[in-house]
Amino acid sequence: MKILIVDDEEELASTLAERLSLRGIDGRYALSGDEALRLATEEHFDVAVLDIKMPKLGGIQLKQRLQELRPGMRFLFLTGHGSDRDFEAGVTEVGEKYYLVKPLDIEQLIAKIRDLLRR
Amino acid sequence: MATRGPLFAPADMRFFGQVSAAVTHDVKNVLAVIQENAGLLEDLCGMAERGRPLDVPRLKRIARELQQQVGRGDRIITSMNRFAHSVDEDPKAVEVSGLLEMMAVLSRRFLAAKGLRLTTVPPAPAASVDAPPFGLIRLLWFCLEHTAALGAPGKTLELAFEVSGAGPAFHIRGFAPPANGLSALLSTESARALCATLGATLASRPEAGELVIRLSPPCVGGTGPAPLTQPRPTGEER
Repeated sequence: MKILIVDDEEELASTLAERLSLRGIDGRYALSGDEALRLATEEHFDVAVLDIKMPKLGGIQLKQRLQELRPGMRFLFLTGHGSDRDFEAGVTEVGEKYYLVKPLDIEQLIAKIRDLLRR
Repeated sequence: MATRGPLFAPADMRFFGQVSAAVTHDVKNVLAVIQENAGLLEDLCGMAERGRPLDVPRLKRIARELQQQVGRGDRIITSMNRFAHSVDEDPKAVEVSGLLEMMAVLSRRFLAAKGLRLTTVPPAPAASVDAPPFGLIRLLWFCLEHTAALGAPGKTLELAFEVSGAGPAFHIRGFAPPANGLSALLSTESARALCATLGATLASRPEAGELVIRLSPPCVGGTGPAPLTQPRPTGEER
């Protein structure tokens, strides 16, 4: 299982990737939409975990670009808040079930990843 | 000098809400980083319990990161507290270094979204300006917002405070000078209204990529309240 985490908060993205790796999940990270697109061009990822609010390319727009590039890729969204406009937009995009609010519970993240891959 | 009115205008409320919401996102990120690092510590301890040797340098790096995030969170919350109080404060001597620090913290997310960052140049020696705090923040934000929209070749905007023969002024530098100057911005109703609150004037040196926010002297160093002056027409300063 290979996961791509995309968040402009480097310490968050890198630590999440490390914690996934400690659990036997191949976790990689990117700090921007452009970097994520480059990585996804070079490698296959099963799931991308996208922060909604990022400079230039936000999570919703990035999902569309990644889907064009890798039609089989699944998505989870991260947000700082559970009640703002971005959240509503993301829920419309992937459903509330595949949305995570910061700060995260890694076991919940992994459960959602596994659930996505079973679909 | 204008004092607070009984009610804030809708634009003021919108501004306060936008800045506050952006700051809460930053706080959430700080909490998320702390959460992940605490979780990583727990993971590493769990592995040590199962026989894997503890990587002490790694643990120290995590501890340092936690301390840095606490410091970051403290700066954000201190700035937010200062910003929140600006709404309930009458005109007073606003300490400039703290104001610039607050502007840098509050605008970080907004500027990062445009691929920009802000550096500040505080006055030396320390200085203060007599102004309604909220009005001053609104005006500086307005100017930052509009200059950031022009882009910055070096990806960095500079917000400085300087005192010259013409009096005290904030300077925003580093934005891409628009071909037609900043006249359109400087003459907007919003710019005029914000300047009127402070008795300030806006002027630009477009060839230098510089916007000057000139305050009514004398208002530096706690020398007493600034005189209430009518805003002069805004325009290009060369």
